Amino acid sequence: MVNAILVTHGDLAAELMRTARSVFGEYDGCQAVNNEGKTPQTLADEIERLIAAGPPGARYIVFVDFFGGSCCHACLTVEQARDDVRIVAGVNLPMLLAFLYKREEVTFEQLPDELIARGRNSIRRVSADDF
Amino acid sequence: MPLCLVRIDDRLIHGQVVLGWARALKPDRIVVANDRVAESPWERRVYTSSVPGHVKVSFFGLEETARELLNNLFKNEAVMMLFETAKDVRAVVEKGVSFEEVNVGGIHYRTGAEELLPYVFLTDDDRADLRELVKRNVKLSAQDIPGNPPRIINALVV
Repeated sequence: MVNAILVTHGDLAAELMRTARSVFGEYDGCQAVNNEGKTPQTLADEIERLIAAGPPGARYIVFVDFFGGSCCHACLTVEQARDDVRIVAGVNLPMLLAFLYKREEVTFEQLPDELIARGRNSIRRVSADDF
Repeated sequence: MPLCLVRIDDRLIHGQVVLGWARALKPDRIVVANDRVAESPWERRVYTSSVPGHVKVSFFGLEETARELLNNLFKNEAVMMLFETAKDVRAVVEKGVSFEEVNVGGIHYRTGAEELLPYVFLTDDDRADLRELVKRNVKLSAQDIPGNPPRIINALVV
């Protein structure tokens, strides 16, 4: 089973998870982490604790909202020391939904690229003229 | 070295610094003054990766930071200097460097810290370090991002 931890600025992670339920329905194995008021070390410790408290042998996609931000740095510290974590930056709703639909379909190693492709594919200029 | 910002922020280089402060102040160089990061090629690469290519980035230990400042290196560049803790700023000041103003941009919650502002949580040790700066006539300006008003906190840490 592949689990997810969403680490974002403010309540974005919790809101993404809540909104994803309205499309996907109920799901588990995902947790939201809000960075507010936390040092990079506190944040990294919190992620470590979530992983330690999770099911043994679970692997994790850790989503962060933006590359180069403090959430991203904290997650890199966690990822550096583990082989059961992959980080994907730039999380958006289509990406999270793709995770929920695909986590049992593709391998853990393929999953990040699948999610990135789905997330990118949803970012485009849209005009009525295209239709 | 003309300093356009001296900032205490336990996240060092991150979104508020790159998107907020660097956009507003247009520094030529960001200097990260931190003993641990200066010794860690991996952390240096991580931090450098989040800075746009036209801004140079340097990493100095505290000793070297004080030396660079006292020797007025980079005098032709606008420099934004980032410290992780008040303790590190104090260490540099105690080596003879003077700062007119220090931006307090992020000292987040740790065990025993009390909230002063939503992004400033101080332990007794933090207060002692900040008091030392106040004693040396440093203006402590709490401000997370350029768009929010600064708040002088000198009276709140003594």
